[in-house]
Formats: sequence, structure tokens, C-alpha cells
Amino acid sequence: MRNKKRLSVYIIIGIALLLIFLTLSRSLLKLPFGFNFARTERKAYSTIILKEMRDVFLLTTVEYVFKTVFPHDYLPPDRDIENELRLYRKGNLVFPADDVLGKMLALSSELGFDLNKMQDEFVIVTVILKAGFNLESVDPEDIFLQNERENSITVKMPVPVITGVTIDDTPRTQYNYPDIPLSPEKWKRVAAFVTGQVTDLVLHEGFLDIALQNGKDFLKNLLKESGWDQVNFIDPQTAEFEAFDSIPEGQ
Amino acid sequence: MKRPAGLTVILFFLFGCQRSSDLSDVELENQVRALLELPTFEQIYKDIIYVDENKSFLMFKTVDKRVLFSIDIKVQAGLDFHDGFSVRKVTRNEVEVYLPEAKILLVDADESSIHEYFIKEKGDKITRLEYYDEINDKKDFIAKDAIDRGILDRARQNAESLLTKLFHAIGFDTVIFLKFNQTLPFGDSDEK
Repeated sequence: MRNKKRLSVYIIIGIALLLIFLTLSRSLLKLPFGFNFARTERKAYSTIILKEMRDVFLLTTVEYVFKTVFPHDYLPPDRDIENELRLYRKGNLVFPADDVLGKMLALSSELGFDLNKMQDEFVIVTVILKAGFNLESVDPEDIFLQNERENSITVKMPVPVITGVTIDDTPRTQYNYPDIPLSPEKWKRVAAFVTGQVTDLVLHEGFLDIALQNGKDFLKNLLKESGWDQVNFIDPQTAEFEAFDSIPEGQ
Repeated sequence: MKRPAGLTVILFFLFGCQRSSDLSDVELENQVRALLELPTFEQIYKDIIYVDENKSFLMFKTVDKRVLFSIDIKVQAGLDFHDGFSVRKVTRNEVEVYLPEAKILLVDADESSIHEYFIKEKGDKITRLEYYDEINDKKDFIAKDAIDRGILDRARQNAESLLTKLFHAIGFDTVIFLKFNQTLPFGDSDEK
């Protein structure tokens, strides 16, 4: 009788353990069998509309691929972030307009980020800047000065400009870092902040000078292949550039 | 005496071995690259995206997050002169210009165009990659649509128009465009 009772208890315990196992196996252990008490449902829909078509006339001569870590690259290590954040929130701190930390604190405040809690949250942003020339308003008749006697040609170079700033849309399969909670609107603000900072940085580093030089190299080859023996250049924003229009043909 | 030692060994292996971090070192790689691209035509698409994810345990909803937003995707086409470009002066007034095929130079989601219609985050927050997957999934379709609508032909026409003006400005009356052929020295080809 006692043995029967003991056997019944063992059977009940065994059934209970089996039920627990079946419950946990699918829900928590993600095994392909068991009861599924936890469910995830995901839907995604998309509608695409052609919005606009337009002509563009750009000559791109250089590209700069810049990887940056948000927010950590914009929290200077030599500053007391916690203290400045506290003072900023109280309204006791005013930053100069170009201060990176000031812009970061303003952005985090607007978007509801707590920088103190973002120690392990970050996003790697790859910014691609392109520079060259916008030829839409450039009339080729106005930029060449030919000297047929010497078989030389002078080119008044257009002002180099940033022709495009994009953020690399790395897919999940190639983005090897943890994801970050960021709504589309917040991502838009973060992207604008990062591209602004990176653009300022590369402009200071002489990015447009490289674009200008590459443009000259391209035109020099083209003009030499077209039969000109000598190709001269006048850089934008120089005295010669301003005086270009008054130089008669043939000189 | 043996049991506590054995247990210690087991506990050591359970808690002493740590998983290596899934995070690799962040590499900051800045790279400048010479380009020679002539983008001459672009099409802008508006992608309206809805993402909805909900989780429940037993009958209770634990996570309910949804977002509806739109983003512009730009498709830009033109010539990449690194694929081949050469010029041959035929006579004093005539020049042959060998051009590569027009191609798609850029398919990019423009983050500055994001417009969020509404967002709901209950139990968890929406993460960036959750909706970025939807954006990336559509790029091939959009590029194909742009090609079907003739973006490459238009890009090539614009490029030829621009180059014609340039060669007229340096003294050539006749500009002949030919397809660049990498196997021949001057890209000689009577294909257009």
C-alpha cells in the first residue's frame, strides 16, 4: 500500500516535470516542440510611389567614407559629462554655438536620451561624402580661354562643392553591432546631427581641395586628348579668377 | 570530501568560463577615394512603411509596438568614367568621345526625408534595424523600376548633352559619341 502511494507520487511528479519541460522548451528554450504560451507576431507593409524625376549635372571627383560612433564620438573624454549634463538641465550652463558637447546635450535633451544610461548603447554610422562640381549653372563657353597660336587653353575652374552626403544603409546581416532603440523620427535627428558634424570636419580637412585637384587632372587629360598641348588652370576665389572675364581671347 | 571538490569543479566551469564578447572592436576607418562620376538624372521614390510587432504570454499582451512612417529613396544614374572614357581628335573640328554605359550610381534612403505619422511603443521600444530591414528590402525593386522607366537612357542623353556643350566650347563643331570598348586602344567601335 505504501509502495503504491509512493509510485503514485512519483508518477504525479514525473507528469508535472514533463509539463514544465514542455512549457519551457518552446517558450524559453526555443525548441521545436512543446506548448507555446509565448507568441510573437510581426507584420510589415510597404507602399512605393514615384515622386519626382529630375535632371542633375554633377561631376563627382572624390569620395570620403567616414565611420563614426554615436553618441560616444561626440562626448569629449576630457569633459565631465555627468556634471555638465546636470548643470545643463538646470539651465546653469550655456555652450558656444560650435561646441560639440553642447550640441550633443541639446539633441539628447530634445530626443529624451539619458546619456548617463547610454553607456552600452551606440550606433555605428557610416557617412559617405562626395565632392566635385555642380555643372548646372556652369556655361562651358565661360570657363575656357583658348590660345590657338600657342595651342594652349586656360580653364577657369568652377568652385568645388559637396555633391552628396549619404548614410550607408547597412542591412542587419552586415551590421555586426547591437541594435539600438531609435524611432524613425529620432534616427532622422541623429542622422542630421552626425552628417552635419562630419561635413564640418571634412571641410576643415581640405576635402574640397582634393576635389578641385582631381577635377583639374580629369580636365587636363581630356583636353590633352582633344589636342591641346598646354593646359592651364585658374583656381576659384583667386585674383586671376576674378580677372578672367576681362582677358581677351588669344592671351 | 570528493563531492564538494567535484561540485566546485562543475561550478567553476559553469560560472568561471565567460562567453567572449559579441562586440568586436569598433573600427573607425576613414577613407578618401578618387572618383570620376557624372550623375545626370535621378528619380525619387516615396516609401511608406508600416511595421507592427506584438508579443504575448498566455493571453496577455506583453509587447505592442507599431510605427508608420515614410522615407524618400533616391536613385541616381549617370556615367562612371572609371569604367572607361577616352577622346580622339579626328580633325580640327571633329572629335570622337568614347563613353561607358550609363549605370545606376546610387540607391539611397534619404534620412532627412523621414516623416513619422505615428508610433506606439508598449512594453518595448522600436529599434533601428527593425524598420531598416524594410527599407533595404525594397531597394532592388526600386532600382529595377527606375531602369524599367528609362533612367539609364535619360542619364546617357543628359551626359551626351553636357559633353557636347563642353566640346563645342573648346572648338569642336562635331562631336560623335561611341561606346567605350576596353579591348581596343581608343575604344574603337561603331556601336552607339
